[in-house]
Amino acid sequence: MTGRGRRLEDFPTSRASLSGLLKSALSWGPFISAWRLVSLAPPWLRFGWPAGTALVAAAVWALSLATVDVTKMSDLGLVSLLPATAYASLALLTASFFVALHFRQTPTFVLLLHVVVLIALIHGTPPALYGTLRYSWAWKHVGIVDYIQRHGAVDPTIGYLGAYHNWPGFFAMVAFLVGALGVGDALGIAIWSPPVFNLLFVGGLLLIVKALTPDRRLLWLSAWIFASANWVGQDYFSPQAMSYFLHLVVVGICLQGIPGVRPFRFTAMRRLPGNDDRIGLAAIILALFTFIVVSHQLTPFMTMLAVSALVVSRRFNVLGLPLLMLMGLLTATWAVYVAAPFLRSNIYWVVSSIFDLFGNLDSNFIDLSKASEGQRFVATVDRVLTASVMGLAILGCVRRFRGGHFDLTGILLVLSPLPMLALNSYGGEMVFRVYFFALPFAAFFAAASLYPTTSTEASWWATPAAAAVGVALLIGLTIAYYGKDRMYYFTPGEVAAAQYLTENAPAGSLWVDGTWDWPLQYRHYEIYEYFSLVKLPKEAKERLEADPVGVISGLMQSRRYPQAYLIITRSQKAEVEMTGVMPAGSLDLIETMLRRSSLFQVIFENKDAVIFRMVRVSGGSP
Amino acid sequence: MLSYEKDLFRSSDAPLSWPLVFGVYTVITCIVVLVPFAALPRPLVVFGFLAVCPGMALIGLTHIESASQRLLLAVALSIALDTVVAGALLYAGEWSATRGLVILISISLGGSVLQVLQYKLEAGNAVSFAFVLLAITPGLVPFAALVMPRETILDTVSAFFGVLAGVALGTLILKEQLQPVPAHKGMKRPLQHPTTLLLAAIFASCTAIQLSRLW
Repeated sequence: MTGRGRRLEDFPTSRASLSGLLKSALSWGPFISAWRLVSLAPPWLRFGWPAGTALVAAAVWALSLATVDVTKMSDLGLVSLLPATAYASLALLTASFFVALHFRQTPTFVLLLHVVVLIALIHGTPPALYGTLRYSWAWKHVGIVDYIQRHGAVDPTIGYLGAYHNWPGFFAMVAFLVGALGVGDALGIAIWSPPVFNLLFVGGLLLIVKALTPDRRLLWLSAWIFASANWVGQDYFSPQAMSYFLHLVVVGICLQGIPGVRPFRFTAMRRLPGNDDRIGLAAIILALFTFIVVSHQLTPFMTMLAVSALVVSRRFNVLGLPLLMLMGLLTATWAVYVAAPFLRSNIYWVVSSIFDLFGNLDSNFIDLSKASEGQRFVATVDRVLTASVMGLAILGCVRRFRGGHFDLTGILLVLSPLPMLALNSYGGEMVFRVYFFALPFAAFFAAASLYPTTSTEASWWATPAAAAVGVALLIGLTIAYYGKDRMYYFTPGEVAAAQYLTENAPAGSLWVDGTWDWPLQYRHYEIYEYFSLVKLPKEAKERLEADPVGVISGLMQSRRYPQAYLIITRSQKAEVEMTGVMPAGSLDLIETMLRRSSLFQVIFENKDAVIFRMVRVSGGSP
Repeated sequence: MLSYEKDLFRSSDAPLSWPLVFGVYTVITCIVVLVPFAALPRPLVVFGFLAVCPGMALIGLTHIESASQRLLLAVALSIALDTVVAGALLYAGEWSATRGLVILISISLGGSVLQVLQYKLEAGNAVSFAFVLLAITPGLVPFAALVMPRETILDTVSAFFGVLAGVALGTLILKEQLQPVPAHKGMKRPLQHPTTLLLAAIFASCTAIQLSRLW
């Protein structure tokens, strides 16, 4: 008698005598003995302890972070500050989840609790530790909300951040939310967006996977793998995050329909046969798709590609092609008739990147030769994590096929975002977006590498092996997700500098910075002009190293600006060091030289930021 | 795949507690918005309302049995409805959070009342009303396109006719949804009708004019 292929439920029941149990335990080894003891426990204990373990893991994580000093982040970001106990709590949570998953009778709430705790730990940690909004683009998004709050309108022809004024759905919704809640601005909402969005993503994913398999273990393992492999950081306060959630819900509805939605028996429509399912589903899908169309440029195309995959695989037989046509019509109408001002100023970029596959691919990756050693390691981990998930997905696909399941729909859904790689670089982010949109389906197949079919019985070694893979994925996630936090995190000092500038700079003034990596444009953003030294042409950058005062004063001396400021922050310096967008130490050099120059005056300073003002001489150049 | 089971959709299956709970919550929101009430923090109450209630008012009219699916779809639909209301006010030049809140409270209360009435009336009519409301949400797209300021007469005319042709085309496509099979062999479906081709041609021409202006 061997342990291979046996399930825990097959072990002797509680009727076994103690001596028999001990004898049996000794014959199976200590590991199996522990399993047996677990399987003999009453249900409340058997399923109560994983829930308790999840909560203990959360408590250990929280306690281990109590002494973390975020200002001491190294090149590896937040991960450099995580103590061993934090990793131990992740390992404990993972082990508890996989053991709970092994038992078919584990209640859903126990599995849900593990996924929720995982998301809370990974994505709730930065807002809890930092207390400030993470990532500079999130600050810009707060700025668009601020614009709508003040103007009650958008300006599609605006010079800065024009795309958001042409696809303003998400920002209008948040501005409305902020007004309705009676809070001053969107900063409080934005800070806590990542954990909330990740919970919503998992909800959408569950809707999808439920349609792909009736196996509950596969369902929850997919959710776990998705949460463990979603490293691309598209969960911050942004239209793409909200659109992504609705994209998942639309695909989920298209995949499984919604049992219960066949309501249309309106008197006028009753004469049309067989209309009830269709109109109900179409109405829900179109309402969700409307949000996507008016909020984000890329997601409508990803949704249409996914729906096309369903139409091609004949999975979407309730609505099908007409709905796809409606989606195309809505997308085209918005892009051409509403967002024309944005297209007009970006048409060259949009057209030139079509079918430039290699150009679109190349533009996505940081130049590792210029990046710091830590960032080279983080980039390597990103790639290994991505390759691992895709490798597991391929393995799962093969195992499903061998188990008698040919998941054409799932395979097409994994592949559906790929055409976008050939169509657009999306500002250098397309490859990450393709991974992001393929991930829910890849997570399903990756989960299937462990439980390929409903009837699969995991052998005794499968659970610890899967837990080990789960821990490895989580270690990769912490490195990939937190690895850039030295530049994504903004200290209270940096926020204070941004606030000082916002409150004191006159309208029309020029703000120059080293890079855009600081809490920029979050309030009254449209009344200022902006320039980043990193955007200087190559020759000017070379001159900047030799003569920073001359180059910067040349930029700032124009009389068309009532005032001109230069702000240098800790986060900008971190970005320069980490990504190599400018020579290392260049911002320190600029700061030193400007302090010595009589052309510049320090008007604000703390340990993380300094603001210079160009000194104007009345009647002539400064 | 979860299949459609006809007997799942009997109106008597729908729990009455849901509309009552969300109806009462909507009324509480109304009170909190109108009367500053220190015991209930406005941000928390209104956030809960906007995140769930508008969508739940409509989803509650269907007979989705799974509570988790019901909640997920209610959140998703609430986000969409909040956005459509906010977007419509934004493009109409009538921006006001209070006005938007009143509209959404009306939708939620209307949905809750319809859910209660569903027990007395024929279920289909109430549900149909809700889904007519949902089906017009994509109307935000042509509305925004029509109210956008235009620079030239050609721009204005092509946008006007292009958007109208798009709306007509969309309506025909929706009609296609309602007509699953031709009644008899040889009968033309809406999308095969010459009018569809004409509308598609107008839409394509106007879109081409708009695109040509981008260069």
